[in-house]
Amino acid sequence: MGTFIIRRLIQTVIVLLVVSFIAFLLLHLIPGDPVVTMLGQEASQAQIEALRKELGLDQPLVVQYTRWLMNVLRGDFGKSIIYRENVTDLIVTRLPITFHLGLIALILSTLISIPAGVISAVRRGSFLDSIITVSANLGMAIPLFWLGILGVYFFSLKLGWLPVQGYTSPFSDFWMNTKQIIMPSICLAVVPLASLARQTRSSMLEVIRQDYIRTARSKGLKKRTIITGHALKNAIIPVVTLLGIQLRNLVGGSVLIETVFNIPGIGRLMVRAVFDKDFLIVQGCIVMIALVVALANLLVDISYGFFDPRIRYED
Amino acid sequence: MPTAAHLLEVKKLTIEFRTDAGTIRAVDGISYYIDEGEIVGLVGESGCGKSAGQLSVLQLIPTPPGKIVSGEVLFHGVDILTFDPEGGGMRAIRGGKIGMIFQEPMTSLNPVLTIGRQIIETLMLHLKMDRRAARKRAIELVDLMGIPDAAQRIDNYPHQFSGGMRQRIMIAMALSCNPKILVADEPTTALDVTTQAQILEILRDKVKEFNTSLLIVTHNLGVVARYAHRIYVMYAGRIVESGTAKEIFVDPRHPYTIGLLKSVPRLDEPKGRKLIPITGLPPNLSNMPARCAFYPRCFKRSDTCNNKPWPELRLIGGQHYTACDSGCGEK
Amino acid sequence: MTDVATQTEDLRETPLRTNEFRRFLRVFLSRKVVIFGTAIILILIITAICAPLFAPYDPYKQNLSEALQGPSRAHLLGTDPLGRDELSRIVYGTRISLLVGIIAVGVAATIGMMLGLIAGYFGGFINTVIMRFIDALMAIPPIMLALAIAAALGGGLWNVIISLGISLIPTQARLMRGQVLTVKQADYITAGEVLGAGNLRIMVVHILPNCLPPLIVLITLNLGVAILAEASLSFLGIGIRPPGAAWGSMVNDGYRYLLSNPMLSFAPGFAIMLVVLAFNIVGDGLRDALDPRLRGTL
Repeated sequence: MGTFIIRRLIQTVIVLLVVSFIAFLLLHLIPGDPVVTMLGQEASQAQIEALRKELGLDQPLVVQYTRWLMNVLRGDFGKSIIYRENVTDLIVTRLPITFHLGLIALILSTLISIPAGVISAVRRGSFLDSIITVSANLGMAIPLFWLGILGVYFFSLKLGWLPVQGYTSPFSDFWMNTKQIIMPSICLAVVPLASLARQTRSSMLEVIRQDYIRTARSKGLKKRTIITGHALKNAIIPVVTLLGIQLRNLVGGSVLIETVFNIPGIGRLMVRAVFDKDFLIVQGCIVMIALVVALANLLVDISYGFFDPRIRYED
Repeated sequence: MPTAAHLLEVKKLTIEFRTDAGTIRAVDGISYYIDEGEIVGLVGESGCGKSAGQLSVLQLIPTPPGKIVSGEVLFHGVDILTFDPEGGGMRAIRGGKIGMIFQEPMTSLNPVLTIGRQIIETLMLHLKMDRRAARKRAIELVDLMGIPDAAQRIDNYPHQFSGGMRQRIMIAMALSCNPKILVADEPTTALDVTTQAQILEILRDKVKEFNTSLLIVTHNLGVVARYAHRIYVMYAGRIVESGTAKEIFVDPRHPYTIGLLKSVPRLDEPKGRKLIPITGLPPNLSNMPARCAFYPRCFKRSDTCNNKPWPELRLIGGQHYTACDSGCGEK
Repeated sequence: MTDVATQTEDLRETPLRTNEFRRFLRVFLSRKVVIFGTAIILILIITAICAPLFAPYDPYKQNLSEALQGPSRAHLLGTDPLGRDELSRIVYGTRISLLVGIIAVGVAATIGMMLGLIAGYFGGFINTVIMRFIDALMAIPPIMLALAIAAALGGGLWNVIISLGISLIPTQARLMRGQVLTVKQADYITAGEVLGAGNLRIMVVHILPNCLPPLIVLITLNLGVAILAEASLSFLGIGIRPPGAAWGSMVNDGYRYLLSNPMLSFAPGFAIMLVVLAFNIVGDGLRDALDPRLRGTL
């Protein structure tokens, strides 16, 4: 198990380096002069020269990358043109908000999807199974932003139960925050929920056919014991794999949800930065997000050892 | 003649499976019994329905494709087929009164649970032991099966054991609650030859120690020759011959049994003797004609065999029954 | 003496024989949902090709005097803020969705399959390099990758296609590689090597065809993914912007008028959902028909 973790750690570091390189390259993909694009057409020659020097764009590529990477490792992503603040500060204030949203969505989706998948598998072919399967299929097809808009329409505009937009810190006003965050979290949770439910269902169906379940039955165990104690413990393993992939979708989805509900998270920051041509923010966001996703995936991989003893005791 | 109720008696059991290719009658009105302290062998080729017959005793056949059409399974004189498959009565019998071990030790143990946990849960369920006592007993059982370092290894996972050891663990698990009967469904087929011998020895010894009856299902005659008291030979879902081991081996009457014996090499025979396999293939169970199913492969068949229904078992002496009445059992 | 080339030819396994194809069709069409999904996709394709025939009005023609009307006899789904007929715009939207989907997935599948084939076949260092690169791509959520590329290159149809294509490469490559690893073990591959078939020949002629079934399923599912992603990008304003008739941007336009003209946002969103659902269902059906054993993995 130890070698497994070390290998994954090294992999993660390499992956992050590659991502950083991709992010770095971004500035150089821009057709034309990146500095002019960033400052706009009205900028004076002096401003252009100053920024070019500041970004080190007059240096060879390798030097630029090393300099940039050193800065990044120190936590310095540069200064935003538009906001005139440190990119790092901008990101750091917004990341927890996205994290808050994502965490609730993650908890919601896991808590609902796994029991749903199990029930659907155990009562295969029943009416309940059909409902769950159809809902899961719909959930995977529905556009996230549309779902958000539907939610706003029904629950905020028509029924007036929830506020349309905005975000207040849970520390300052918990109740308001809850009302604001419920709809976005539910919307964000829909896709992972559907996907996890489907996977749980097919895993369970697969596991129930296995010989060791027949053995468990031949021992006279109760059906519930077999489902939870014997079957689910095996079926959950591929679901954990899927969870890692869904984390990525959660982060990506936050871009859309934050736009619809006007929540000041990192997703909305990035979208605005793209329109403002504020490349430094875009670079910073990519690196930070990749970092979070990679770390989360690493945690998921390590947790495998907990779920699958064959990995834990790999001789 | 009046007999005391057998420990387990299967009466005219018929099981069908619905498949894409039609309805298959896997088991067709078979009857057999087993008494205390006996070792009984059920012999037949793959696909002859012997496994299905066993699984249905504990109602383990999945009932969407499978269906118990008719018959009784009398355990201590009570028909357990009438029990609710998920009810407390049936579950008390499974593992508690009738234990079962399966063919594939590699896949029959749950890979994510320790073997200790898998044995302990049965002990706690049927013998109502508390966890500490169950753990102690589990270690004893594992040790009894000849697995060294039992106290440590009880916390290991199945993938950390070899095939032979896993089968021993399965035997330990099945015998743990002192069942009256142990059903062994092809227990050694998936193991190599040396391990096979070891497992059979253990089975034979332990069932004597625990005073459990043993029902071995196998396609391997050699297995039953050494250990079984009585043998049933199955073909295409029916029993075609039965009797004590001596009766079957010394004086086989049904052509199928004769063919089986002739096709097994024996160390005490002259070197030049040719192995005579049974020609042809097992029949397709979904379109069975009314006549004897062995007819196409029988070396002594006659036209009368083709024109009458499959003969019932008839007594030819002692406990020896055969389902062939063309008098061609004479060697 | 038989020609060596002919012998190698005989080693190739024909993936689909006639009665296998019939069995495939039978299983595929056995569920009503799958038939429904296939019908939707066919309707989509026909609508896209014959859009001018189906659309009652010119989708680009502005008519400010008729702006923001609700659904009526003249305009079944109402009109947008610039007076354009909503229904016609939805009909024309099929073209963009289909175009982006097919090209993006096509590019991703081609590149992904090549990468997967090379990585799986050669293994070793090449495999490591390719797989780390794939991992890096997978660490960035697809939308953000597309956003980043859009930031650098600007928005618009082609940049969307490029960025979507890139974001779909990882899953294709990984699946291909997995399949190659399995197929590589087969005896007929070893036989081919023994007979002296070159690497390229073995890869393309022997390995590739036998990896296809799960890839076909993935491609179908990815078509749905691509359409959804394109809609999301258009919604954000990155992708296809008005006057182009893209469902995503239509939803965005309608958001401002949600209370008064909800249909402006509802209709295009529903279209997206229906189409993606169809691809998902058909993808599932294909998987069940081609190889139900894949159930757990795809």
